Amino acid sequence: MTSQELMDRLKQRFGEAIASAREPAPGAVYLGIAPQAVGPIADCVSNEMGARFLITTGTDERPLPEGGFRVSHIFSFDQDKLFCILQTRVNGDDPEVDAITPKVRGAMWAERELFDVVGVKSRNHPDPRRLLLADDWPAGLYPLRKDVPFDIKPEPDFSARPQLAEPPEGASVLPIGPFFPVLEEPAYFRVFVEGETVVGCDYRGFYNHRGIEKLGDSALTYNQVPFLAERICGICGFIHSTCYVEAVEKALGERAPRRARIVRTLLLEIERIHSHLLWLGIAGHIIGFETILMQSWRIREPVMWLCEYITGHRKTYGMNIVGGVRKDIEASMYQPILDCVAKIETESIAVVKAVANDSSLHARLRGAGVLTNADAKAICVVGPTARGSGVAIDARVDHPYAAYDEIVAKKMVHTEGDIWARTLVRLEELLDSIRLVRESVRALAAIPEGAIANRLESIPAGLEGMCVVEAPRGEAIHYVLTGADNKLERWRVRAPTYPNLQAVPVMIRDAQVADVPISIGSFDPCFSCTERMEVVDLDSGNVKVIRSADLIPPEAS
Amino acid sequence: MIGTMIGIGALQIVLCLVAGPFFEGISRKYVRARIAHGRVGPLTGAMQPFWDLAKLLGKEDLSIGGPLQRIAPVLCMGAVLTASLLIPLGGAPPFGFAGDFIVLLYFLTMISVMIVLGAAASGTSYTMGGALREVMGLLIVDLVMAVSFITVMINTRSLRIGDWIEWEAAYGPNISMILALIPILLVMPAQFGKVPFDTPEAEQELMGGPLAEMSGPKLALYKWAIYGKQFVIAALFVQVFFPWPLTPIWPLNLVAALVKILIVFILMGVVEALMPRLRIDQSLKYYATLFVIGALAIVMAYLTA
Repeated sequence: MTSQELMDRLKQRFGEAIASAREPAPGAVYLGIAPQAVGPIADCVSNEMGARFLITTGTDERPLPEGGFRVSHIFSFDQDKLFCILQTRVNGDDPEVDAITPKVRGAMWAERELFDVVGVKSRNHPDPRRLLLADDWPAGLYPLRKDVPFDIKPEPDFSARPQLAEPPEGASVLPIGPFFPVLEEPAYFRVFVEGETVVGCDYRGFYNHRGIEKLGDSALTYNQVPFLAERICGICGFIHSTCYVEAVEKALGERAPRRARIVRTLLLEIERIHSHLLWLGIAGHIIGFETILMQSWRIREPVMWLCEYITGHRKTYGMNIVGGVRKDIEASMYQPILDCVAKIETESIAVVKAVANDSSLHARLRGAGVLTNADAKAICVVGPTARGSGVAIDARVDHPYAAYDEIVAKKMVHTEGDIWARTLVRLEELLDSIRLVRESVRALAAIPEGAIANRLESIPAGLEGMCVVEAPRGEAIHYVLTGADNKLERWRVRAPTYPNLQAVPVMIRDAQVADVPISIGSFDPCFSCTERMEVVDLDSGNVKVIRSADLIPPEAS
Repeated sequence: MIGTMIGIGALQIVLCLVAGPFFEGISRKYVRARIAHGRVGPLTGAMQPFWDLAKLLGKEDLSIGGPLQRIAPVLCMGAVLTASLLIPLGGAPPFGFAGDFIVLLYFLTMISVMIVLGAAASGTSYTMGGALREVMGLLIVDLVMAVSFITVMINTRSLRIGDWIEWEAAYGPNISMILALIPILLVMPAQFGKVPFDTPEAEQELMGGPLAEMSGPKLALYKWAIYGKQFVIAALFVQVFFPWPLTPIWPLNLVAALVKILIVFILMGVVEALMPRLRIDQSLKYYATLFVIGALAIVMAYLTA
């Protein structure tokens, strides 16, 4: 199906409800639709035509000539290398739009977030609780509206509590989080257990809001944002900065020079190698197999040195700018890079073999944390979590960015849907990434050193662009709307953990308590990426020192 | 005579308190860190457990339970020290008597019971979950061990540990004894509270389970008691099933015993480095298999006796 066919089919089916259809850059169709048609069209696109839901974006456009709020539901036709963005406009101070969640289960959190940040209510949403804002954030204050300043600090209210589900009859609560040994970041899984068996789960997260999107589209210029984007995640920072700059480049309809795109590809794959080794270690740690942790992190360390050698930094490289990269990889660096990957490859193969044949690991990981293919599709999970459940999606192949059109990645797909399948997907990708690094170096060697960036002086307002980048945990999505004064009007980020987290209740249903941490760990959660948004309300100045007496109930002391 | 007994008894208590953490330190530094993990490990070498204990003993004691939570670690330590009087090190146990094994078994069980009681008195969901797992393990792990020793009793027709050692040294292992040592050896990681059977503590699942609410000196006492328990169990195992060389020279026997116990500690370190933690249902299944092997050993002992 081409973009033209998609537009024709939808126009034929819904006629007048589709007010406009355009394709500013190849691969992304923007459809302006009437508000009352959102439900039926989303239903048709998702359930009849088989598109996968990605994310929803709300934009406050009241200061712009069009006015009102724009709601964009982003879908992807992976086989057709096509994005479909359904956009509608609603007006008023308390705007409402029909929820698509009853038809598109994957939109659950996206629509909750839509209300939290821009105040567009989703009618008939099955679970309209607060998702993203702090519990003491004042109701009716929507931080991504343009009349809310980025440095607002509402009064803290220490008595505020999250609205959490109560356990079913006969079950008790096993709190996993907000701080828990194997979750590196705060997240609260309220797990309901009967003895050793899990009967349900509720989630409260988003403790790590940092106001990143707000800062990006209010205070920073185009080439400052990549620095911020890189700090969204401590593991896959380069993925976010690449995703952002490629989204802006797509809005402009301009690609970075080929050499810059190959440099991006190389760094992206190095990031995947280190991330998968890191995950393997953490997974080993979660099930008490410390030897795996120590060995895989030992292998990972030279990858960090390699990053430092290439970019000058271990993690936040500062390489990306809109239009290209800052630094070239010189010819003298090719051999050290190849030597380093060769060593990593030998050692990784040894670890992969040891892990793949370990019967005690099979006992722990096979058949645990199962996510069926149907559930994976409905919840719209991404990355190794999806590929482990037989959903063959990989943004590197489906929506090529950087230089993945010439340096082709392999999709690693397993169908069992258990933790073991996700492990195998990652181990195979680890070895494939090493191949891709080699190919990138070969491609760099084949072309002469030359331009690595198209410097852009100014970017016109009103352009839209989006890009997906396959992070080690799944695809990251960045959507940009350019604004006046050479600044962003709206910057939307969706990290891969966002949809994957929504699959946790399904994964751990009827599981043993022992399988809960590794099930959560199996999709490689990254909470601070997911929770990139909102203003921190911690710095209220009221420092409360907790002494032991405060922790001890009076009757005990 | 009484003086010698008291002297040996005092020495056994000291050995239990010192050798337990020390052997654990050796296993931790040289097996786990150096060989398995490929890292340097604690800079204090094998002495690290002592530093840990000293640090914990000097820390503030936070209490959330009642008097029971405070007294359970002390009773746990008491049970270990009493048990250390009844183990054979240089020869027969110093305070051996007919039926001393039953008393020893009682004190070994007491250790787990005190851990469970302390956990129940803390009363949070992690400690309760851990206590539940500890009880499940206690019911079957000690049973597996007891079944192995029933074979020894049938072979030796005695309940006195001293007799067992002499019998094994004199008549050597027969087929039922060899069969009986399999379950007790394979259940040893559970007695040591180590991976793959450290399900009750499982810090990645239950944040330390029964010990989650223990702090400072209480935690130190528990940890020390667990090191001591490891020493006692290892001593009982190696001396009953491998009493050689049983010479008339007492100190030589003692040194040999310590070497054998150290080997058990190292073996447990190796197992820990090579396995992930099993789920409680998987470990219960595993214990049940060991129980069947132990029962087979009993049948074999009857047939050959």
